[in-house]
Amino acid sequence: MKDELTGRMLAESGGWVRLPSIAPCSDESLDFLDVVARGLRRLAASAGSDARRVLAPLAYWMRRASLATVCARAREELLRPCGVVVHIAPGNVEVMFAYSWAIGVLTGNANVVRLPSRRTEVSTLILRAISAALEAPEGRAFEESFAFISYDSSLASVTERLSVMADARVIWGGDQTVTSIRALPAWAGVRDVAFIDKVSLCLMDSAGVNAMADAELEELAQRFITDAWTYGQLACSSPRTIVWLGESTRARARFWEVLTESLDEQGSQMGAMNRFVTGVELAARGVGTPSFSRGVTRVWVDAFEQGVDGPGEGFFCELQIDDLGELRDRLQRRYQTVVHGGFETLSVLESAVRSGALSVDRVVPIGQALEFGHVWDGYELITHLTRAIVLR
Amino acid sequence: MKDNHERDELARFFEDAPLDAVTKRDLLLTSLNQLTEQHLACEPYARIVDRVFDGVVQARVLSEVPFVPVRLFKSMRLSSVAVEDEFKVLVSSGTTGQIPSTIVLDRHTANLQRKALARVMQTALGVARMPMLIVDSRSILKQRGRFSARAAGVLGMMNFGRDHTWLLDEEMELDETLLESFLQKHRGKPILVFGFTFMVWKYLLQRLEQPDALFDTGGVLVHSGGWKKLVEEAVSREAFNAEAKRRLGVDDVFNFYGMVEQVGSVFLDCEQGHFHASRFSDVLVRDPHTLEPLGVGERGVVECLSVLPTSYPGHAILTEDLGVVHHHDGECPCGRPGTAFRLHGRIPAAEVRGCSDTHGVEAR
Repeated sequence: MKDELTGRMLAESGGWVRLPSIAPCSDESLDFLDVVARGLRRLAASAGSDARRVLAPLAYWMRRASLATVCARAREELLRPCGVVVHIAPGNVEVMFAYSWAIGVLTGNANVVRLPSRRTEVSTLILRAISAALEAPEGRAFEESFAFISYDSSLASVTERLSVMADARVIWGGDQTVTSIRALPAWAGVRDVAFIDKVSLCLMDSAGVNAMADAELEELAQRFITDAWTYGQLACSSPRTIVWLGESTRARARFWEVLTESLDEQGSQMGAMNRFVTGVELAARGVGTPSFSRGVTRVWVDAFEQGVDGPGEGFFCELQIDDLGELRDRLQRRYQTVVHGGFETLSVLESAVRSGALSVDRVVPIGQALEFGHVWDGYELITHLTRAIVLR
Repeated sequence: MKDNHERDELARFFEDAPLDAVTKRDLLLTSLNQLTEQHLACEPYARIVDRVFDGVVQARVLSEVPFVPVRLFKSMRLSSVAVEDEFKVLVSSGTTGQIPSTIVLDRHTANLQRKALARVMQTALGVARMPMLIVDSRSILKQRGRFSARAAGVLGMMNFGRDHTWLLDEEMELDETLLESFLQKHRGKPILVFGFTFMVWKYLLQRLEQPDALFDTGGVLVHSGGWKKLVEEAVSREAFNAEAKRRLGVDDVFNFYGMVEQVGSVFLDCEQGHFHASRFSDVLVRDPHTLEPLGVGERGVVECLSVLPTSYPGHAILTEDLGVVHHHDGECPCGRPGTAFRLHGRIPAAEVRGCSDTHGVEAR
């Protein structure tokens, strides 16, 4: 098969990767990714607990049953792959490259994934699962259709070459990386999926939290810990601010008491120092009143704008609002995820989203902050990495 | 009235009479409490006392005195005196060019610092000024406006020597001709050598090749700046001191620990290898996670107390250095007074995580 797309690709990619001969969201890609998912599940079972914590959700998401639902709508359309997708993977949310790559495979593209030069247990295990899957019969169609590369950061010419060969660039790594990649020469028609610096918050319904039984509250705290403490609170989707809806004194006291009891990590020494310094500085500036406990610093602020993102590892600004409308125009475009707790129905949240008061990319229950989906930062990735063909 | 009283308390620290441990502790607590009250004039500091330390002004023990993290002097200008009383503003960057600290001094504080530093250094150097070799390049003074901690350190020490001779050029090469003529000129006199620990090791001690000691009548080496780079080269304090005595022919080697945020209250080490608090200062160690005070032998974050800062709220500063208190005041086998402690480097930097990071593989 030698259509125009593959020809250009081969010429400019120096033969690194070729387009697999499969359609977007095909059974072939679902089968192949399912083999990877099963391999991941096996590897995760014998990995360390930190690795298991990120590999298990990846494996679950990559199963055939889960990705088939992602593909349901796409299969009704006439889609073709974009061509070569270049993925610039983020540094320390190390698992992200695998989600990015899988979407690229699912959409039938050829993929080049730039990995951080530092290899971790997680990335090593993922690459092992992928190579093993390539050896399986389901992998045959994907031979030479993707490459993982990492190289010395001083080799700017390599990054430039990647950019030039790309039909689409999936750029993780925040504002700085996005800006620097966009400054590189590229095909005029290149599609960019750019993940900029974002932050996230937690929205609590005070009355709802207050009404929870102890066991329920403990479970909520556990899920909150997963959201906020994985990746040292510095993942874009980890909550940094907690907004309490309605009179919150009692709900807050109960929540934090349960949480500090369940929190078994106290973070690094530098993390503790960073929290202290930031808390003291906010006090000195008259922004808020900090309270310090082992592993957690929270600062009670008067207004949303006064809050800061904080240094991570358990630093939260908290405030109270009486109406979700108060968040209108305050979230700007840098808020990604709202994790919510204590809401009995989604209707109040839905109307806040529809009215534009809650202008974010995701609104999900506490505990799901880090669950990747094919809709991310406002991009529906299947659409962005395929070309929709009109035929009549 | 209060001013007079304050002066009385402070004057005790400058008297000649030795301070026994109990007297010093009580005097220190009274003085630090006075300083806390006085610095409430600095609004941001007053808010810290109120919001972080539950408004405790009269501490019952030294560990209760409200303390300020050292990094705050990098992000805020903390002054307790009226603008017209500001005499000097120290703006000093760290050795590796981080954000500078800003320290506001009035005449009174600057005087106290000068007098206190002289008093502490005299215990090591005596009163006579020795001819002085500086293991650094004069070029570090050229940077206008902003002082590096390195330049500030050298300038402070220069007061204690005479005929200052800068041994290194801008490329950190030893000027042997200059050294030779200095030695000729000062034959028969004890010599003072000052430099940063790593530079003394690498650019002086390691460069000297002659088998005999450099000085014929002894002298003193004072160095500062930390062991981090020397630990990497597996050089112990003992090896460093032995080499300095052998190569230079100095009688004594002193390591000193100090910071621009508390000029004057420096800590000198003893032959046991412990830093000692001077009569103007004290040290305590806190749990890095809870910031609760720790006991003798326990490793934590070092907090430095000093009675000297009267123009800015720096009388209790939480550093980012790790250390262990080994002996209470008066209990070090060396016989010197003052809490005895050791340093164990800085708090290790946290790993950078998060989405806004591609781990140094940036496009350029």
